[in-house]
Amino acid sequence: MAIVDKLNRRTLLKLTGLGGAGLALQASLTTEVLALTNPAVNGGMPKGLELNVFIHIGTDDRVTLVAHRSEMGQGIRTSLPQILADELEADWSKVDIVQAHGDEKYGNQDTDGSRSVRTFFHTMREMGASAKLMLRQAAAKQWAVPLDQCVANNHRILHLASKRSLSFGELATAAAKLPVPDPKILVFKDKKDFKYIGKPMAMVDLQDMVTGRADFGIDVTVADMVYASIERCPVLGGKVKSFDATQSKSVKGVLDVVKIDGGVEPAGFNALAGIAVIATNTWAAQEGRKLLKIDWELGAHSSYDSTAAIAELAGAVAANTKVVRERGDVDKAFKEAKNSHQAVYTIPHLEHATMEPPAATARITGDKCEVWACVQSPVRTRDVVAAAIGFKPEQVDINVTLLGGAFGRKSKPDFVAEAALLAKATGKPVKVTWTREDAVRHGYYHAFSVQHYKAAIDANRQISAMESTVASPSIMSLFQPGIETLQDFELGMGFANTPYKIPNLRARNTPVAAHTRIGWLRSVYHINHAFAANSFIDEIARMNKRDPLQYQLATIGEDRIVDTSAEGFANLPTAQEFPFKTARLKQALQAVKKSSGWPAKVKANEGWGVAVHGSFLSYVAVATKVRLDKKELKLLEVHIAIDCGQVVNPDRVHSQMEGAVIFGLSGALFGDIQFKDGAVQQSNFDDYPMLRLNQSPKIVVTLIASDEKHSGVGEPGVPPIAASVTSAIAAAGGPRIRDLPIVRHLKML
Amino acid sequence: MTSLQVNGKTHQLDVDGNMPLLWVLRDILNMTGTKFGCGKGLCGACTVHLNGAPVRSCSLPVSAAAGAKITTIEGLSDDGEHPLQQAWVAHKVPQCGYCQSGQLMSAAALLSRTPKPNDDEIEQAMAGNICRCGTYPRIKAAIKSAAGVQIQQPSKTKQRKEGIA
Repeated sequence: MAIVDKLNRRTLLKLTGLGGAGLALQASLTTEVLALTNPAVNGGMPKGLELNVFIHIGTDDRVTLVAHRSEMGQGIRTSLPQILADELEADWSKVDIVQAHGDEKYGNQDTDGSRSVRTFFHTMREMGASAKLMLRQAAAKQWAVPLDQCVANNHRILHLASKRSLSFGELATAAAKLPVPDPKILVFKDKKDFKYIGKPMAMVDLQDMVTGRADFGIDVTVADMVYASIERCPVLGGKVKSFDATQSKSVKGVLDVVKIDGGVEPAGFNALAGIAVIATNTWAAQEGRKLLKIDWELGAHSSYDSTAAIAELAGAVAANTKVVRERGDVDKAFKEAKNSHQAVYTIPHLEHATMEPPAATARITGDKCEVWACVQSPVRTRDVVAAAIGFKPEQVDINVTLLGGAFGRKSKPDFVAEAALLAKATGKPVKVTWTREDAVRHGYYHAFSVQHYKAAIDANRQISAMESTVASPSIMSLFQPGIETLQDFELGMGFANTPYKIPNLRARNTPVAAHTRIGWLRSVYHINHAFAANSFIDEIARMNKRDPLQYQLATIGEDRIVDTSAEGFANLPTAQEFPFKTARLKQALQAVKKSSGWPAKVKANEGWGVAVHGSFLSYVAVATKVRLDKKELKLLEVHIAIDCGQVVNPDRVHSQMEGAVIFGLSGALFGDIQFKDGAVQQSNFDDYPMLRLNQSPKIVVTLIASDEKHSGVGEPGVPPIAASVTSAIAAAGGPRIRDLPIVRHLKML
Repeated sequence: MTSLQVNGKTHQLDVDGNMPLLWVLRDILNMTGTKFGCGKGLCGACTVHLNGAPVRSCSLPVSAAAGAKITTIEGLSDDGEHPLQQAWVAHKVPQCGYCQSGQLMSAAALLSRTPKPNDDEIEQAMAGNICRCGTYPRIKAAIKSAAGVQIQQPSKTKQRKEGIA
């Protein structure tokens, strides 16, 4: 529940530089924000009442709204203001957006977990409704008429009977003198009267983005700034033994060479060990860096071979595997089975490959440190920077730029810590720009996954028992030493909470040690778990000559709420507010069935594949059509349907689905980060390719109309993609690909 | 001294001739609309026009650009009036926006030599530009609609650009 209150002018000035008169409101929020992930991952969640968001109505009629979430392409700097402006009855052309600095007063600013809209929808409405009521009250007082005769409409308060009206700006000063209304008396707009909510509003940054004026982290320039490029230890936990920078210093423009200690474990968000070359421009820094001679102390992870690790786990289920969910009598069902099937699915490590590589600028002046960076987590960034340079958090100011792609990478501010450390060492403002190779080789990698699946099939060709076993390193290994097993929040990403109505079910978890920085990447473990589960059901359907889409529907079973609590696995913390409904999964399947014309007849070398998955509280189904010419793959069509509850900006949901298709395809087709001797073997877009425009399929998006609560959009589109493609390949007469990426088996046409 | 003509303006620069044009634009001239993506000509984020042809500025030594007419995203139009920029807005193409300067410059070069491209020509011309957000379907649609506009009515922007060139 939000509590709306007046915002004092000093705070407003501090946060935005806005001075002057007018009405300024803030919303405080009890920290009921539900994290999908482990609290330790989301870290630093403030307790109690904190200022979260604010609105300012100036006497000049301009309405200023704060965007406290980071913009990375999802449109959040537009969608949240859309909600507030609608409830306020503001004229969108008079609304300005300012970006919040990293400040715990805003509460948890971490823009991740696909949760901005669902978390702040009601706060935005309450702020808008409170301000609107105060403006109406001010008008009623001025005209000496009853409040109910004063109506807000398009940035004005109207008194219809006398045909008088006053603008928001004209009323702002008077409204500011009134007490803030009790939220209980607020009356919200009816859905049918929404002007902006549910409308495809253009992003507020759109014009800047097409004219080259949008400022990303990499674009920041401050006076007297120098540029850094850093050679980092190729192996996690490694350190600099010794180095020689003589030749580097001879490069024109090189100013300085600075050692960064690093090598801390668990790695968290600390800077990695390395040698930074400081120069008058980026290129000189990069050239100087090439001439460094460094002797590394590689440390404990220098024998990590990810391909071998995956192969070993895929060979047999390890003895130390533990049951995490069980229902029925799985062993009995297998004994009585008419038939059975088993398969092993593997996914390698992935890297985020944001188009804008990590970049940050830091300036230290006396006891203040200013930072400009493309970060998803400004408060965490502030704390990481403060710890790195021995400052208090309140001495650090984080300016959040636009993010040139993020996908979870920019939740991890190791690159910002580097900039601050170098600013401290050199006494100058420093911009650190990662090269593509740096980003590919020093990422926070998506966890590889090995999943063993086994099913018993009865005489009716139904699955009577299923046993699934997962082996994957945990994200928590980043924060706590000795974590060698997936945590419940990770298993709950579509593995242990599988919705299938299979009478006998067992899910198991195998410990795996992490030898690199494991981090969350768009859709996280859902990618792995949706791939295996959907592939397996598809295989069984085809073995039994059943239509895979119908078989999915039948295996999900009747309409119900998935509840695993009696089977040894706790429901998600969000289950109370957002129950996992099988009807919504099936509806998503029906939507792609309709959209794709499933089961359409195809040519002999073409095929359709389907997959469905619930994640981030939304439900997505995907149907993909491919063609195989000998061993060459052509993607023809991808149909994607999402039920994400009510929608604030349908165009941005559409674009997120289009993006999820492309992102999911890149990962499934090409994604393959391999470690050898502890170091990443890939380097750039030549050996770590991305899907290109000429390889992209036709994409058809369906938004399922829903009155359910708002749920995730940024991530839920990705998980079903991989299995829909591999199943389509099998349907087209190609191999059943169980070890991603697909290009290990087929070429892309 | 290297003489560099960017968006109709000539700059005399004291830079290493091997420095890629990208870093001259970004770090020396402070024109940050042209983006760094890979440094190897693999992603197209740094695309600019050299005498009207699209080039990857991350891999082009500034010495090779001296004397040529360079157009960057900042010079594509005064204020976003280029038909492609308008089409980008109409189709709401960008997500994060980072690669879009390069996408627009590749598309603009395509339309200047092939005013009415077919699907194949669009795909070939845009294959060198990576977008991680997945705006490809809209890029394709926007190019087609801009091509329509351009055929019916030669734009003022294009004339002005030619004037500069």
